[in-house]
Amino acid sequence: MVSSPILKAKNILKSYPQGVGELQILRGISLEIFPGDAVSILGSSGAGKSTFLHILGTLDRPQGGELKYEDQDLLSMNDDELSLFRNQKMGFVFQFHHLISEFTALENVILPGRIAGEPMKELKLRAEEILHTMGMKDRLSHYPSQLSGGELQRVAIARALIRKPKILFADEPTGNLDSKNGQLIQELFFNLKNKMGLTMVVVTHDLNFASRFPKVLRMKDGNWSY
Amino acid sequence: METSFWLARKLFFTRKNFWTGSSLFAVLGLIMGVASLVTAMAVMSGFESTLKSAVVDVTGHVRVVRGFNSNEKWEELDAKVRDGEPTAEIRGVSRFTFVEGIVTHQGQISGVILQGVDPQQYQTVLNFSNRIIQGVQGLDTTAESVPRALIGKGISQKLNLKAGDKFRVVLPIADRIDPNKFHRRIKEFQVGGVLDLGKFDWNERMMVTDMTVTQELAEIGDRYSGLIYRFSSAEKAREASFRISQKLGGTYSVRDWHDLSENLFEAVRIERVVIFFVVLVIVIVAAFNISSSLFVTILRRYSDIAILKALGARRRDIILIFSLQGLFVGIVGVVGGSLVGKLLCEILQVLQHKFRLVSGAVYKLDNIDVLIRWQDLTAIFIATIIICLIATLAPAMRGAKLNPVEGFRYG
Repeated sequence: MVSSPILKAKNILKSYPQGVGELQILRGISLEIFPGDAVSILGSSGAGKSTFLHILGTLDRPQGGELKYEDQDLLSMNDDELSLFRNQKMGFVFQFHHLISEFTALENVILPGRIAGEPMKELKLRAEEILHTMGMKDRLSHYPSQLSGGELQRVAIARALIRKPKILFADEPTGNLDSKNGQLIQELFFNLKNKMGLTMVVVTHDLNFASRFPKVLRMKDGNWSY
Repeated sequence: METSFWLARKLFFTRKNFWTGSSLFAVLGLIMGVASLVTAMAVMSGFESTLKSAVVDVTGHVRVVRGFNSNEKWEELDAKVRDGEPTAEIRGVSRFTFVEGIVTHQGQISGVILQGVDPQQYQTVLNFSNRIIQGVQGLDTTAESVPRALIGKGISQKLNLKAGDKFRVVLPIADRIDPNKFHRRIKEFQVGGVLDLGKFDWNERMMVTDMTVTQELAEIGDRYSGLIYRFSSAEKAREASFRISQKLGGTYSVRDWHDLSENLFEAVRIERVVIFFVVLVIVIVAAFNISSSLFVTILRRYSDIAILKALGARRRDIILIFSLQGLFVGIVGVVGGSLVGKLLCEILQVLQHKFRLVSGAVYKLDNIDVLIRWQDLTAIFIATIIICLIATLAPAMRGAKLNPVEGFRYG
């Protein structure tokens, strides 16, 4: 039986104002993501891959096209509905960890759960468990300024997973790391994929990393390049 | 809500984030604004309270003045007044007479109002015990049959009279046959005590003595001007005054402590409202500081706001987080401002005694017991918090509108 796509983007258009005209970033790009998919999106700088990822993750709105999660039309939702949707269904990892500096590693991880109103005690247990599996057992009460680049990214991944998302989006997750830490994060992604059966969409310009995904897509000038 | 509190506490209320930079100056500005407001209101409340206590102490709660030609016995009038009034509410009654005369001492003269009171009863309706600044309160007669009198401190200063000094009172009495002719009546008194009667006019003109002495001096026999009543409280007295006035009709003049200085009380009430709003402008200016400080915080927090929105925070969560910061600044401002205001009031109280800051001739009172009232503090608290919340709304809404992608890009 062929399963139906969990996320479907069709003819997505995105442009930004530039001087008197418009700079076209995405030119009618489409994508279907099925449950359990692990997709990497490759492309050079300025190809529009991060913009496309942001639109897929509902962080940004396109000027045209369709975006559906199962049968839900995501583009007809208002900002608050999208926030709730992201909190329930999506996880994000960015090139820069974007951890909140006043929060400890544990507090950063539980943040999405707190926003959803989950009980603190249960959340903490779950966050500790995730951080333990990532080898961060001794770093729970450390602040971001006390963690290394690789550790920061592991905390960011743990934060993305705490709400058990249906899709994990990662934008250059190894882009800001040295090769050793980059390798560790790559392994972590594939371990999680195998263990949890996560659906993942990863944007990277690292060819080695991208080629380890079962589905590799290339972007050029705002659309797929075949 | 709970999450917003948690986030606001973690993000803003750390020593590092709150007590540095623009937030600190915004809070200091607010503290100074609130302190000014507290002090101004304390002075106004103190003025009103000092005036009220002076009026109640010196004139009693309610004065019932009978018609000029009435020969009604005081017991009959008292019975009419008490008719239908709750017995427990009336705490005391005393007859009184008012006579105008001239005090002379060491070649100096001054016009006075002689208030004759019943020596056995007056202490149940008037309160001079806290107002004696020299001598004693007694209205008895000396061994040489000289009656004792209590005089205002203004008369004492003007005529150089101290407790124990003797002085004369001269009264012009109209002839019964030809009212254009006068004869004079002179009586010697001894200063029993000097009173600070609270109001400048009274200190300059009032003298209290035994009513029988006044009656004899003014040749009015057993006639009296009216009755003074004291009630269980000043507020009960005002209610009773209206009822008594209705009951007795137009032949009698019934006036409570408020009516007797109505122009002053009314002026204070209006001034208090005007001063509150004028000084509140300082708080509003301070609120602009809070607003600009919050704008800076939001710019600094662009990436944090972006990540919160990416992780699911709604607009109202972001507004609430920043509004809580405004609320916290408001609370710190009110508490700090109240404490500084209290300190300013204490300093003002000391300076007032030392340098005679208040001129009785101008303000009617030469001393104000600066008073911080809970009602004033509550009004200041509510006004300040509302202003702070409004001040935080614009920056908070700006933060809430932020597109997460822009936050990641520029944060």
